[in-house]
Amino acid sequence: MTIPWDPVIQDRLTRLHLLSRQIVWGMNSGQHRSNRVTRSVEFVEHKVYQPGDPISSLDWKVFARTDKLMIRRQSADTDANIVLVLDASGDMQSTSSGAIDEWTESKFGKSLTAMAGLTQMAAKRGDPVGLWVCGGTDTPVGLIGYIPPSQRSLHPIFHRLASVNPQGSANLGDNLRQLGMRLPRKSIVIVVSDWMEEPEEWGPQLEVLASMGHDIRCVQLYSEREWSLDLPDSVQVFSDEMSTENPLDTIAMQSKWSTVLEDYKEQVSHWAARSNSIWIPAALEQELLPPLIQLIKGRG
Amino acid sequence: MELNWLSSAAVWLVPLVLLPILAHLVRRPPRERWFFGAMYLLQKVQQRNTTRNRIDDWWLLLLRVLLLLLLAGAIMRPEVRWRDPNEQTEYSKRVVLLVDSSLSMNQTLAPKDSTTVFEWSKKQLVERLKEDQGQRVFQMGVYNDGVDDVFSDWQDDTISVSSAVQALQQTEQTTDLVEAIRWARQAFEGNGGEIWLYTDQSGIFSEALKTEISLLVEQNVALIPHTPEIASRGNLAIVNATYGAGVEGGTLRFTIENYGEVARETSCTTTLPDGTEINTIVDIPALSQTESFVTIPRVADGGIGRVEVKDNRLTLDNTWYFQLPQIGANRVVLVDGDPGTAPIDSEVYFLERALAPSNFGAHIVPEVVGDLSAVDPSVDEQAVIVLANVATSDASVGPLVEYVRSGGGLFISLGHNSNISSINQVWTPLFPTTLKDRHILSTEYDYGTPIALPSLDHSLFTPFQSGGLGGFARARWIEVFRLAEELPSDATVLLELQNGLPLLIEYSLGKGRICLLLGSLDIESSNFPLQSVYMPFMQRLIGHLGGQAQGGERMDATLGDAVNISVSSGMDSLQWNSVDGSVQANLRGDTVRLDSKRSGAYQLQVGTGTVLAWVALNSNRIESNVAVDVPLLEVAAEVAPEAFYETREIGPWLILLALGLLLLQSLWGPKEEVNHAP
Repeated sequence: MTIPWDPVIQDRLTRLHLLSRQIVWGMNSGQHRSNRVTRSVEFVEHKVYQPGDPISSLDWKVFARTDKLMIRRQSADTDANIVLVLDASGDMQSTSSGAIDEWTESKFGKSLTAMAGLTQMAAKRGDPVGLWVCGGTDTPVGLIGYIPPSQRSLHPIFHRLASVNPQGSANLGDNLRQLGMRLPRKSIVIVVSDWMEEPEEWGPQLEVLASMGHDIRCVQLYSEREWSLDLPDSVQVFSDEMSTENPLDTIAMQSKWSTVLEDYKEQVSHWAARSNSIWIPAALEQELLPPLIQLIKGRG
Repeated sequence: MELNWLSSAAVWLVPLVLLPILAHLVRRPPRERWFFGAMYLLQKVQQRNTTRNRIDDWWLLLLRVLLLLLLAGAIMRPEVRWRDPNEQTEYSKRVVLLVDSSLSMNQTLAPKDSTTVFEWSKKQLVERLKEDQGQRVFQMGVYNDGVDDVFSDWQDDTISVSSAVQALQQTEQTTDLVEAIRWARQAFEGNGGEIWLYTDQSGIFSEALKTEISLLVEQNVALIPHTPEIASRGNLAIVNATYGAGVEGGTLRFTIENYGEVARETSCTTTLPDGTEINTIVDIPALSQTESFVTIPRVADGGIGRVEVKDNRLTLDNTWYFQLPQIGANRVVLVDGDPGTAPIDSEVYFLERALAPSNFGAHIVPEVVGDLSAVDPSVDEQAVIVLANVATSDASVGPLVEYVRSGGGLFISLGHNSNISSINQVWTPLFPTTLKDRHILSTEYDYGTPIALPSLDHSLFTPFQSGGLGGFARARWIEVFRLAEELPSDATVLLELQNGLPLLIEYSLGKGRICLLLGSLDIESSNFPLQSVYMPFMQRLIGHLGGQAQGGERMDATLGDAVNISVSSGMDSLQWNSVDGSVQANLRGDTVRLDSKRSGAYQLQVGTGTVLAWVALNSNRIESNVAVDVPLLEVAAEVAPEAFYETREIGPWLILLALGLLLLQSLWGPKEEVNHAP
């Protein structure tokens, strides 16, 4: 499987700045407000260059004037850990047309596009980026396959994204719990999933992550046709994840489906609020870029 | 209980039940498939509905099938009916009690219950009479192959009726139900009433029974059978036993029939006339016969023996009586005083052939010895000793006299070895009188003197009454011994020549008898051995000397058949003897009839002396079959359904039930949404 690159998305994302909503504790200087005194946009002081200092922090104007290598220190900005969480469960293969062979249009294909764009964006900004895969097969996933945030993790992440195949269940709650125990402090956690699991399982784990000071941003991929039950009147529905195949009378099912869907949305809203998450729904039938821009700008 | 369809043509409606099933089958899963990513949510919806819907579907299918079945059934107008003798619908004042006393009523109610059907019937009838509070009158008949009316008139006293019931006796006879019902019907004299019939219903009912039942219905007489519940009907019976040729003293072959539906293993005991018992174990498959046999000893008394099978279900047919001839090669000893050089020269050649014509399976197999000293006379060993042209000797006289006095039979024939003076001196105790001389009867123109026709008064000659008597007259004698003196009064001349000379004399000595032939047994002094009467007469004569068992006519008979024995006219003091006792024989002219209602071994005797006939009387084994072919009420219901069937049409009930199901379906049926989950 290859990553379905979208040039437009790549272009736009690299021109955006992902700013943490929290005060982060980065090791390197960056665009995120830091509680450490370091190189900053807002000048604090100069210090004499010492071997090991980043060359990019050299104040070339001072060097031109005084012929001395001076390091420019700024007040608050630092780098932020970005951890991408990918849902590789079996049902992520679903598309808006119900077909199984159009995987680039599937939720998983869209997820890969988004993940690749976000990774590239973080790398370009010098932010450490990591990856956690929930479910899936053909590559290490979960804790074993965890790629911790690093500025050198671009290629490992791309390799992982290109090799994973969606299968099985995501177990979001369990994976988020394990991820929380290994995250650096004050990270930005971006989860791209269909969230088709019991909210009571993954919701509390989001809340825990939020309580640890992480910035939680969630993208929910869904099909508008499914949610409106805009299917043929009589159809045989099946699921890879549930291993079931049932006949569905859409007309007879309509009212009950609406009730269940509303209940589900309420629960999602509830847990998104409790975890102070940015919740971005992304319909398969719509362009993926706007939701990603929303995600980066932090507008849920 | 039976189910009938009054409009059975509507059976074509039954396939309608296939419609709902077909409808369910037609609603197959849709062919279009859809990868549904939100299956998690869809399952939440289905969890709310699937379980109920699934049950609803099957219940609906079942309800609809049932509904159509009920409607189709109602259109076919079903009618249930059950046999009911209509006992309580009309109170009858007159009741005829009919009690079956045939052999099959002897069967027990269960394998481990010794109560017979006959006993049960009596008990039930007595209790029924006690309960009867009405002003009824009763007549009672006990029937088997005929009917015996117990009362001469109708009885209103239930106590006396009960007493009569308790006095009823089981018999071994067959059943004639038709005659019994006819008798009961006639007892009503054209009026209505009830017949309480106590029977085991075994066997096959004849067509005549239907006629009688229809007459009963016309006369408004209710037939109410009373039959107990008999657990696993079954019975073993000996149905045949015949003595025939075989090793040792011969073989008795007998057949056991199993009338039950379970294979049985049981023991059979053969009891010979002398009391010897021989046990056999036999396996009899269900509903079939098995033949078994026993070997008779080389020595056995003649008479009537019996074979008995061990069976508790019906004991009266366990025994079969059979005729057994006198058996034993050493029981008749022929002492040949002049063996000769060739077999035909033997003195006893003709007698031996006469006693054992084929020398195999014969009634009497004699043992021939050449010397009297080789014989140790004893009544335990020999029944008859024949001295044929034996020379006299002092040593042999004493044992012979003692032998005859003890009950032995002695036959003496004379010849060339017979020295008259020696006989007159030595054998005096064995002879009735002294001998005078040897008398030649032939002349040049006259070959010997024939025998005068014997008297038929003596049982020896009874078989020749119907034919063969003239054969004696064709026997001519050319030489006989004459007696010196008159015969004593206790001596009987059995045969004499036409010239008045005695030829064969019988006289008693102690308990035994002696027959003296004043001639020789070979063909030197007569042509008697060449006559057709010689063989049967000598067989009978030796048998007569050998004891009671050898005498008399033998007959196998079945209970209920006429058993008539021809005897000489003027005989009196005749009686039938059996182990159950003696009954006076009913003599009509020269025929004696055996009137007995019990099987057994019967002897027709003159007082306690000569046995004139042996009758092995066995019950009719048709009664041994205790299986019920067709129940009596079923036969009756076939003749008159309205009298013996209770009917109810259940069509309306089916329609009501169908309406109920329709209501149930409407309450339970699908409403807004239907999820056709499999």
